[in-house]
Parts: sequence; structure tokens; C-alpha cells
Amino acid sequence: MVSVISNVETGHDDMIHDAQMDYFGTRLATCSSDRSVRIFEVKGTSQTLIADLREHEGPVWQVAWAHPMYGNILASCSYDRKVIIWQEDGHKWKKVHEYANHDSSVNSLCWAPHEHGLILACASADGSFSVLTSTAHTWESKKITSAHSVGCNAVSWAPAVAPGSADGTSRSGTAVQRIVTGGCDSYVKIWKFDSATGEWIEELKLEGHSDWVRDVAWAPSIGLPRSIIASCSQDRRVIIWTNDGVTGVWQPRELNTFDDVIWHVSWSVTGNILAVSGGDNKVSLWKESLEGQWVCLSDSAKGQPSSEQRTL
Amino acid sequence: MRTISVTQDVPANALALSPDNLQVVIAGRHVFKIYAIEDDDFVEKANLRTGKHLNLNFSCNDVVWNPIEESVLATASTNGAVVTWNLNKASRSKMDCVFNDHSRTVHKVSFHPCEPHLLISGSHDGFMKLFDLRRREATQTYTSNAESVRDVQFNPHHSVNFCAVSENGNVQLWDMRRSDRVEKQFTAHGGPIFALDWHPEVKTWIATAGRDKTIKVWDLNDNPTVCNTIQTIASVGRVKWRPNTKFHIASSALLCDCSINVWDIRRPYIPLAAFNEHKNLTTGICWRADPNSLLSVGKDCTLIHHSFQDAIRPMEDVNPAALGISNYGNISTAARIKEDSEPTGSLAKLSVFRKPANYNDHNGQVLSSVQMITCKEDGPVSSHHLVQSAKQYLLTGRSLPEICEHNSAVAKKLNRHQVALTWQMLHMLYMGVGGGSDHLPGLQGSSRDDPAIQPDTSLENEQRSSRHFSGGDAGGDTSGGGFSAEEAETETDDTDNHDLKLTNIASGMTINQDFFFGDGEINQIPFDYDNLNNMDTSQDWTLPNEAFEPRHDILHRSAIPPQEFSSKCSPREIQDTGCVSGYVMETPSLLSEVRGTGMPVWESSDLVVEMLYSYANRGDVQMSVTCIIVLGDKLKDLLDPDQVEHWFLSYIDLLQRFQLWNVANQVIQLAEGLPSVLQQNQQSTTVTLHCGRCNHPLGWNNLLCRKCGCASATCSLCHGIVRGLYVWCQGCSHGGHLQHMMQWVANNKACPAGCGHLCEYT
Repeated sequence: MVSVISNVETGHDDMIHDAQMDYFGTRLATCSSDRSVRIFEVKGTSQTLIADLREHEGPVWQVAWAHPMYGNILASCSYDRKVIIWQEDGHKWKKVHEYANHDSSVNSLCWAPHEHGLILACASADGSFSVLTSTAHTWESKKITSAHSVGCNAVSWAPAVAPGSADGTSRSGTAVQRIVTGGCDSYVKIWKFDSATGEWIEELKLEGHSDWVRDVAWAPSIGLPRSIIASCSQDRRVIIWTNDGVTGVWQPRELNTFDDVIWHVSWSVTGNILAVSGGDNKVSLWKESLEGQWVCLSDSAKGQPSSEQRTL
Repeated sequence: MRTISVTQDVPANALALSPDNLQVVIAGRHVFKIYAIEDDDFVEKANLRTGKHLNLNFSCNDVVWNPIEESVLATASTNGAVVTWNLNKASRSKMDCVFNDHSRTVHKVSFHPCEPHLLISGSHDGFMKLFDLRRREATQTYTSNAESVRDVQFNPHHSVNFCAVSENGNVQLWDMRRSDRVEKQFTAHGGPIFALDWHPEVKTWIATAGRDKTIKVWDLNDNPTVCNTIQTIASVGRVKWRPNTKFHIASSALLCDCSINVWDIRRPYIPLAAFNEHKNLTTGICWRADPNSLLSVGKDCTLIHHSFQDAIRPMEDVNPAALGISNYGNISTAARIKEDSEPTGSLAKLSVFRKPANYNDHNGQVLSSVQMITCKEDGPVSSHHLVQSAKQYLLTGRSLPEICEHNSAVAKKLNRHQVALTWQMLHMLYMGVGGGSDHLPGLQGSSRDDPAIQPDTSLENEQRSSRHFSGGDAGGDTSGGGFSAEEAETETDDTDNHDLKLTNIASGMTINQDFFFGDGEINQIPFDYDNLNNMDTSQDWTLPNEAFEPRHDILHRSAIPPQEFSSKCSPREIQDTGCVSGYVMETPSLLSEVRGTGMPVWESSDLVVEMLYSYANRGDVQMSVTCIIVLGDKLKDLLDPDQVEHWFLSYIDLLQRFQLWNVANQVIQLAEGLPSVLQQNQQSTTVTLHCGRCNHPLGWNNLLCRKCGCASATCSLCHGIVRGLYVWCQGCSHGGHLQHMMQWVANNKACPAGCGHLCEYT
């Protein structure tokens, strides 16, 4: 990879499960099996610890930063079946909300696009996912049970300006809220919020993986009217689902079959580069070529950039 | 053996295995049964809850099976009785002895590991009693000095010793021959301890667990020390070491959590395995002398045999890798540290528990490292060019060709050749016949922002432009100009059109006449004529001075008050109404001078639109938005306003991510015809006031701080609250009423507050 690699001294006592940078790319939040969430200020290649949050009673699986228009807010989910929402107040981070309505480990969480409001979706191993909405003083929750049998592993929001204005959703503000989830039943499911009934309904079930889906990521929508979802699975494959916004059909395209279980897929801010990380500790970057093929730009383990001409 | 279960009508509190591990007894308030464990089923062997008087002696808190005499059982009753049972009794009731020595509920009973006639009990009355079954009496009483003894267990390795835990958080070690004094005592937990278990192999280890949700492993050397602490999510009710494994221990919770967890004490945060079969709280657990076979009873009235291979393995499902991409293209990843790597930091600290001999993937201390992969400037996810372009691109304020030239140079400098070429193409297209040398002085004059870029590239750009223009000319379709219909309607008359057509025909160009709209001013036509001729004949034409692009759009870029946007007026209305512009830096003379020559010679708008989509599709929304802004209303009717709005919002969001507030603001201002984007600028800006002393936020129009009661602004002279004008020294920040200050400085030089600063009020 064309890059400088710097190690972050996190000081965690056990395995680290997530490391996310905030909206501005200046802060790094990490979470670990040791039940703590840590926040670092990142400047260049140096990091300073600014907070060590210990409220969880189990390993913390994921952290997610909210859009800064709502303040400095971080959410974390844990094996202890709780979701904790933290907020920076002055220079102190404190717990502002705790959601403990799941019957099993909460595996994943994702903030909605800020256009919808301060809304958090979280996926649990009890097979359900919840949507927490911040109102003036409280958090309202809605739990969608039996989303995935055995367990729900990942959740991701669709961008607010939904491409594909076929259903008249293009104007921001009236955009339909959509969520994609991945679960142990090896399905990727797309959920749509029905504002008439106030319920989340299953819109589509995408079949393609042959084992637990580990992560799903809806690409940021900057560009043409089409939606892209990346999903990765225990079956060592990454699938790119593309909806051109006209036919409404999600076309799967297999990115690659990797050597190990793929744990994470993550889109770049502009939504055109996909980072993939697997159990073999490798991170690779993928980009769609003009011919519609997904090509590997670089692979952290190989240490060599590809020779492909960068046109970005 | 697989997982099997049997359900009764009532819940059980405890269970115990026969010495041969083939039978299990379960006991509760209303149940007391023996089951034989078959291969795939439990078979009820005996129901001991029989007899005429089912009194409280049958109501059991705990049950144990004599480890030596298979026919003897003991139970701890809720009424304080300790009852023994003999299965060999001929009578229907198997009840043998009843000891009523305790005054309150008995929590635990425990047989001596090798003396079958010795039984010890721990009760809520705070005493432990040793019973001799041969003498049928309590022979010893041990005082815990605590309210309640919750668990008691003989040391399996040194059987004259036993250990007891109590509700005050203390662990006591007794020699059973010395009832007068406790051998060792220490406080183990911050609250009641509910369970203890001696390690079956390591002679000095015990595990204790309690209401503080922790399981602690103690090394009982001279000075008992905690080896490990496991934090669970609920009060722990039972703990049992897993047989034949040194570091594994099973636990069940007293509250909240129905599952049975098996922990590796070296990974204290996440269970090695979990059994979730119970639908209600688990009350008793027991290993069947086999690390893969666990029995349990619960409040859901079921007795379950768990097979270890059916357990859920949270530790194996644990996500070992993390991944995040920041907007700067930095990638943060976390990965397990490979086991052969050097232990560092906290790993080294815990190396006591690293046993290389039996070290494998799932039972060792595991650490991760987090790495920040910082992209180089030309890396694939780098945002360097985006930020630099955003900072350096010109969006407005100059003529279109200048802007194109400038932006092209910027892109070129950032090694984005395709983008640079695109800008040059735009330059060509919308200037008609751009890039002549006459233009150069003006260009240099206007490039004061970027003297470094402009001069050294402009010449080259011009050469490039001409080359590409010729290419476009040859290959492109040659239809009419790009003026909006509006202009054509208002300003063109038939004669002019006719004249234009004639010129075109005269110049020998194959122009689709139907689509050609010219501008209305006759005096422009000679220029057109020249240009067309030049084009027709050769590539080395020269640029007339007048070939500037008119900047109509500038005039319409007006600062319109927000009310008008909320009333949903169309862009056209805005143009009509709000022509008072904040951007009237254009000289009108320029406008009139260049009118009419800026039409593209062939219909390129469709291609340009396609180009915009193509850039956006490739993630370069910056290019699309910048082009739209620069080209102004030339593409107005060709673009889907929703799409454009989406691009604008995306780009603004991106800019804000990079904290390029000024650029973002400029883009918002230039988002012509997109009310929802423009509105972003007009949403309220909040100014919050804070008390200068305690930093407490002040309310609207509040002069007194509600928290500390101080006035937020007092006059240094009269100490009264200042309403209205407040004058203060910027050096020492003291000040007050304007009048007072004026009076003061007339006579004094130093600060009125007495801080010693020599204030200068002018």
C-alpha cells in the first residue's frame, strides 16, 4: 500500500474489535474485548488518548460516530446486550443513553444519515435489530424481531438522498429510510421504513452468500442514480450488489474469493473505493474500473501498490 | 453424548451427580427426583418427595450425593433442617436423619471427600455445622461472624480443610478440627459471595463469585492473591471448574442472564462457550466428570444435559479485525497480534499466564494492534487532491476562460491530467475559439491569487487547447449554439437569424440551422464570421480580443433573503426579482463587449452533461459541482435539478468533512437555482453567551448568571451592570460604561480595575 503505517498505542488489554474515525477524520475511537472504548486525537501519525470509557460489562464490538451537527456523539455496542450512547460535554465524555432491550449480544450499529435525524440502528445476535430515534428529551426505540434467524451481524443505512428516484424519493427530507442487514442465515436483507404505518418492512432478501454474513456496507451515494451495497461473509467472499435505480433489481457481482474469512467491508467517503479486511489481517482496496470490473488497487500484506493508473 | 433435556412441573434449586456419574438428583421446593442419564434421554428412577407429611423438610435449597456411599444423599432445607436420605431404606420414604440444628435456612451442604459419614452445612444463621452421620448429631459448630454463609466446600486436596464464603464478602479457610478459630480469612468481594469452587487440580486455587458480577480466582498461598477476575454481566450464582482443563470455569447467573457461560480465566472478558438452552435462570450446574458434558437445572423447570460441542462459542465468533477509512484516506485497522510476536506492554505484564505448552488459538491472552495506514498524497483513497483542488479552484469572480485556465492549471499541478484536460475542453467549448495569445496579458493580470501556477502553464495550456479543439471539431457533431431559449426569444429577431444562417452557409460549415440561435446584435456578426472562417480553414487562428465569455450568470447570483426561498419561488422568478447582487464585481462594459461570441460552435452540452455524470459516477463529485458552478446557467435545462442538488449537498458535506468551511460556504452561495442548498446558508447561526466566571451558559438577554449569580458584565468603575455599550480594554479586558470610561481615561492612564495595565482608550 502506498502509505505510511503507524502503530497506535491503544493500551487495550485484549483484542480490539473496531477502530473508527470520526466525520472530520481527526479522532479515532477503538473498542476492545476488555470492555473499554477509547478515543484518540489523531494528528499526523501521533495519537493522544482523550477518553477511556468504561461502562460496558462485556466486550465492545463496534463503535460509531454520529454526524457532528448533533454534537460529538459516539455509540458503542457490546456483548453485554447494551448499546451506550456517549456524548462529549466540555472535555468530558459521558453516557447519555443506554439501550438494553436486546436478549443477546449487540453486534453492530450504524447511525442514520444526518438528514433523517439522530437515529441509530443496531443489530443483535438475538436475530433482531433496533432503531433508536432521538427525540427532544428521550430516545424512542423500535425493535424489529426475527430479522435474521440465529442472529443479525451487521447493519448499515442507505444514504439519505436515495438514488433511483423511481419511487419519488429523491428530494431530501422525504427520502425513504432504508437499512441493510446481514445475518447468520446468510441473507442480506433490505428494510424500508413505511412512514404510513411507522413500521419497518422487509423489502428485499438478497441471496448469494453460503455462510454467515459478517458485514454489510451501503455505499455513500455521490454520483449516478444507483445504489451499491457490499457484503462479506464467513464464506470468504465479498459480493457487490448494484441497483441501477431503474429496474430496481439488485445485481450481485462477486468481488473476489479470499483466503480467509472476510470480517469487514468499508467504503471510502466518496463511495468509489471499497476496503476489505479479513481474518488474515490483510486489508485490500478495490475500485470499479470503467469497464465495470472491480480491481484490487493495493493489498496491505503485499506491500506493493498496483500499477493501475489512478484517474481520481 | 448429545444435548438432552427433561421438563418437570416445578423448578429445581440444585442438582447432584451420583459417584458413578450415571444418575442425577434434582431438588427444589417442590421436587426431589432421581434420574438415570441414558444415552439420549433422562429416565426417572425415583421420586423421593413421597410420604404422608410433605413438610418443609422436603423443601430443598441444596442437594449432595455422598461421594463414597452411593445410597446416601443430603439436602439443605429452607426451614433450616439438614436432612439425609438413604436410598436403601425399605420404607417408601427414604428420609434418614433430620438435623434441626440451624435456626434459619440452610444454603449449602457438602460431604467430606473421603469420610462418608461427615457432612458440613452452611446456613443463613451465620454458622457452619459438621454432622457425624454415624452419631447422628452435629459434632462441631463454626462461627462465620457473618450474617449468612452462602457456600461451603471441603478442600478436595487436603480434606481436613474446608472453605466457606459469606454474605459480607469474606472467604474463610477452616481446619475442621479447630472450630474455635478460623485458619485464614480475607475479603474477596465487595458484596455477598454466592459461590465457591476448589480447583480440581491446582491445589491452592479457589474460585469465588458474587453479587458484584465478578468471578475471582484466588491463589491461597500464605497471602491469598487474586490471579484472575472475570467480569460477567449479572450476579453470579454458581461456579464450577471444568474438569481436565486448567483454566476453564463454568458459571451461571442469579439474575438477568439465563445462559451458562464457560470462561477461560485468561480471557476474562468473553466466554469461551455459552449454553443458552435454559429459558429462565439457571439454578444449578454440575460437570459430569467430563469436560464435554454439563448438567444443569433451571427455573424453567428443565434438567438439561449440555454437550460441549453444541455450545455457542462467542470467542470464536469474535471479530478479530477492524477497519475504518477516514475522509483523509487514512485507514485504521486492528488485527490480532500474532502469537509468535514479542509480548509488549500489557501482554508482558500478564505473561505469568502464558503457558506455551498448552497454548492454542482459543485459550490464550490475545491482544490486537491498531495501525493507522496514512495514505500518501497520491494514494488511491487519498483526499489530498480534493482538498487542494477545493482550496485552489476558482469558482467565480472572473471570466469563464480564466477560470477554466486556472482550474486546469490547478489540476495539472496536482497531477490530475484528465481533469486538467477536461477544464481545457470546457474552456474551448464555451469560449467558442478560446485561447488566443491576445488574451494572455489579461490572464496574467488576473491571476494574482496564484502567481506560481498561472504564468508557467498558461502558454502550454493554450497549445493544448488548440490541439484538442481541432480534435473536437473533426469528430464532434456540428449543430447550433448553446444559448438558452430565453435569450433567443427575447433578443433575436428574424433578420439576425437569417444573417447568421447566411454567414454559416457562406463559411461552408455544415451547421444544422434549425438549432442555431444567434444573439441579436448585428455588430457581433463580423466577429462570428471571422471566427467561423478561421475554424474552417486552419487551426492557427488568432483570438479576437472580444472573445470573452459573457458572465450573465453573475448577475443572477443574488443574495436573496430566505423568505423568498421558503415561498418556493422558481429560479426564474428569483432572477426576475432579485437582481441586486453581492457579486456585481463584473464591469458592465465587459458584459456588453463580449456578448454573443461565447456560443459553442457545436452542440456540446449533452456531452458536457454526460461528462459531469461520468465524473460524479467515479466519485469525483467535486468536478461535477465545480463545472456546474463555473458554467452557470449554460447547462441549466439539461440537468436534472434533483441530481444537481444531490451533487451539491454531497460536495458541501465533503467540504465540511475537511473543515473547508469557506469553500463550502462559497459553494452554497453559488448554488444557483437550488433553494434547498442556498437555504443552508440562511439557517440560523447561534451565538451562545457564557458567564465569564463559571462558564455557565447565559440565557437570552440575561445579564445575571443563574449559576454563580454574578453579573456577566460589570463596570470596573461603578460596579454596576452595563446595559448597552460596554467598552473594554483589549489589553486587560477591563472596562465598563462608555461614559465612566471616558471620564476615567481623561484623568488616568492605568486601568480603572487596578490591574496595573496601562490602558489606552482612544
